Amino acid sequence: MQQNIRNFCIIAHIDHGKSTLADQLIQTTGTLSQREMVDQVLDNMDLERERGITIKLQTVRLLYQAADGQEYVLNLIDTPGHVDFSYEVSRSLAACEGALLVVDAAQGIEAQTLANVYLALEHNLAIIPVINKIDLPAADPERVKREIEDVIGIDAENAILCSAKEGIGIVEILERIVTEVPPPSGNPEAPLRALIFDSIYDDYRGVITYLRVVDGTLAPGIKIRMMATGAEFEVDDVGIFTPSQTPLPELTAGQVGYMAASIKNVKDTRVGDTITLAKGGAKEPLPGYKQIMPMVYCGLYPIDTVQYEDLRTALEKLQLNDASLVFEPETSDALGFGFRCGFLGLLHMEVVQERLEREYGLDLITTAPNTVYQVTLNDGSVRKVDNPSDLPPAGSIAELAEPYVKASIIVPSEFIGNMMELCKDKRGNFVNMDYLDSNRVVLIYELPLSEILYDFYDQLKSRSKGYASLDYEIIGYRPSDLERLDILINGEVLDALSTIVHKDRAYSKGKALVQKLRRIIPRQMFDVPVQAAIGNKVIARETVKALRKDVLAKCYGGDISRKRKLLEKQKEGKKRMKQVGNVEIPQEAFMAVLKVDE
Amino acid sequence: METGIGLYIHIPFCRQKCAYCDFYSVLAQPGAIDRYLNSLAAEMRLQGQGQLISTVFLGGGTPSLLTARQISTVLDGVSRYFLLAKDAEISMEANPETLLNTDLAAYRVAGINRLSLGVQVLDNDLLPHLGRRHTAQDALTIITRAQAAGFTNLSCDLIYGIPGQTMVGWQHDLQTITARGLPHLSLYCLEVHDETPLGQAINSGKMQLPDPDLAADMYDWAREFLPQQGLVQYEISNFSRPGFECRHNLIYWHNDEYLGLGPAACSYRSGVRACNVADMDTYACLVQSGQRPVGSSECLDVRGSAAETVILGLRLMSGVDAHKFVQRFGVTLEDVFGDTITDLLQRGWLVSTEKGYALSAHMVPLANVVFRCFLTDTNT
Repeated sequence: MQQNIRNFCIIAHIDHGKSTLADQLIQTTGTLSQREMVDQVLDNMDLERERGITIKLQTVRLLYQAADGQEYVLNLIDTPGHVDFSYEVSRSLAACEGALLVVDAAQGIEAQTLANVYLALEHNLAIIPVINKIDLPAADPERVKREIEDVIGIDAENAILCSAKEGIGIVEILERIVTEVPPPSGNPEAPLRALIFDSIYDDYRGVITYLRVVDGTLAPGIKIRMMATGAEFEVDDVGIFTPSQTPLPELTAGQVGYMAASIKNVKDTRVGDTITLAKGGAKEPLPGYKQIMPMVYCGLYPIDTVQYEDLRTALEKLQLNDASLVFEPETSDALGFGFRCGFLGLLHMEVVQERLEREYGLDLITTAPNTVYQVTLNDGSVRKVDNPSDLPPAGSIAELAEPYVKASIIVPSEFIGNMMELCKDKRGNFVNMDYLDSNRVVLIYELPLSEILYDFYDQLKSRSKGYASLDYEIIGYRPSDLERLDILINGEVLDALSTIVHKDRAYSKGKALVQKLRRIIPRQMFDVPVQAAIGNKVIARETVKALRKDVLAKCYGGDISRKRKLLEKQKEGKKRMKQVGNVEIPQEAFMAVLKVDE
Repeated sequence: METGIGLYIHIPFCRQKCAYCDFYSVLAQPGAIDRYLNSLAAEMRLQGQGQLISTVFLGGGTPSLLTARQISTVLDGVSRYFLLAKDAEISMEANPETLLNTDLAAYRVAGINRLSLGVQVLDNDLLPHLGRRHTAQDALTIITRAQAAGFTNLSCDLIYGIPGQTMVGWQHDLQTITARGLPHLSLYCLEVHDETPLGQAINSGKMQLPDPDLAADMYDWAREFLPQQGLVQYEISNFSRPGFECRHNLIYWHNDEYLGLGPAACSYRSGVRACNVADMDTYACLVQSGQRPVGSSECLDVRGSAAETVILGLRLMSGVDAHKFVQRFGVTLEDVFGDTITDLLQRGWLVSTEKGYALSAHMVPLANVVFRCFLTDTNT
């Protein structure tokens, strides 16, 4: 049985056709009939389908009658397609023995693909190169083959030429999975060890854990223990994905499936953790478990204070399904009661915000995101600061450090200059540059994560006409010359607008920010000074001049109702602004930090 | 003076739509006016029950597209179905170019005793921006002729805040007009409505509104200059020699009752604000078949009526009349708006007058700020 299992995943850049290929594999093997197919079966959150990204992992078991006459179980494990989720990618790769490397025949390798294929090589996965979209007029499979060989260093001579859209090459892919991906090697007789690679929350059954049984057997009734968290449960139900959950009496070594065990909280089933028996379990967990920490924080505040409890409930519900989302209550002088929320990265943050607004109907003010800073105080103690307004006074800080990333940028060589300029603007240190072929290069830079949080990606795209692709990994904290930039409106610090900036940037950033705020803040009944300050020193100032005129010229018989309604609407609009001291501040001011051009 | 209601009659015809106008009007086709006058007579028959009318206002559209004879027909209808007060103020709006070839005295004979001329601006470069068809000279000619025809109660509309308009140009216009000795002026800051040609030109960046502070300066200058010429500000946008205030418009600002006739015309009676359908054919069809052509109506609660009374009253420099408020609502202004009034007096935004409360002079250009304080939150 174990000999006839193949566990594999698909590595591909966004838009290189991963989902279409997965759909073809599902259809060709007859796993789902035409009627049951929804386009792109694997991305099943609306948001995922809309944005073409994978957030929650999906898994599907394909039954395949191979040319050798035997039937094989092919488990396709989906991988998330975004740098925010690279830890999840590494765990789902660890659950596989092989990977399809899908590369667009016209575009070639992109940065995200490169990062993931290196991860797959680290896990000793068998890699089957697939060159997709060969039906496109611009397809150049030979060039892409050479690129795969030169850049990744694997043999691409036998790369499968495929068009997932046209159904070309699908059978060859299935055959090659059978012949080239080794069967799982675990020991069915050893004590249970199963790798958790994802989990979802089900309202009726609690947490459903997605796992790969490495050794031993998992069956209902067994008492299990999570080796990292120590939590113990009794298994209710196990099964496989067809792709809907289908119960089985047991899951044995090599199999991929799900488990329900009346687990109330996803925090108890951490991705990468090992499941073993509560009694007589394995001595050693499977390698690679890490507790992942949020790197990006922002404040989320309900626009209408009555939605505060709704926001808490919604965050709790999302957290059931998303162990990497953290939040705690926070109070802002300017915005009132809200939550400080931590995310894996920017995309993760955007997805959570969008789901809160869309699925839970909340109206939110989001403060500008920031990274977690590491502060060493004069007394030698070290603490993490996830909110700029919590930064201790400059005099008490011995050292301030911020997270750095190693970024790989793949770009046509004509844009090298633009990319280098951008990275330099963003305080990057050049590490290395390699030619992928005669006209594409990979640039390696070390950059502060905080610089990537702002408009880095947009800039990257616009300065490369959309050709550049980016991947990055966090490489640790480095001391930086940082300080807190405060914004004062009418003499009062607006805590929600405080940011931590590099000393060399403080002046230009402060100036740009106050200019932007002067345009956003409506004129009031008096002059409103808008100042940027470092400590007690004001470094930039603008004034929102007092309102001179606000009067409806005409109000005759036919106008009265209309004009009254207009005034009522204006009053309503003002209510949606935040009153800070005497000044009414519109919501967009709180996001201004994100969109300033220095 | 007898106290009757105001009668507004809408004349929804124009030769060409002005670039900034969002009132209802149609192009004047041959024969359309006479057909309309028939419908108007039908509506008078429906609405008229001999009510006492103390003012009539023919607005538009362009009422001066009607001949003196047609005006006479309209006013005959008013006399037939209503009780027109002997001293009634009967105003007509007029576009200068429409009167160039007419005998203005004939309109006086027909019954018009107050003329309001749409002069707008005395700059031939700016008039086309507004979509106006007359020249500055046309406007001045008509003023002279109207005065010669015996229209002592004569008013001009002027607009400021026009794209391209300068302070010097504005001052020149006011000086030129006041030199003609008119007893009444209305000054309107250009309001830009998105759906008008001007609004589209501005939204698309083809035209640029002047700095709002320049418009504020223009208004301030007028408020200082006109009183020196004997024209006292009596409402946010209106100035007159004492005794020449527009009685019809005072009815609106006193929040008294009025009846509107014609498509898109509005009425306020027994606490109900109602507007006629804004479509000529639907209007004609309804009135000819004996039905009231009301398109929408709103019955205000006491609180809403009280707020409107205050807001409209505060548009007048004389302010809102506390005594009349009590007579009308049975409670005092302070009973309803005590906290707001106290607050606004403290801020110096309102002043106490002999009769009640008025905007303090510096808040006149910021009247909306005060008005909003009297409105209740819509969602509570």
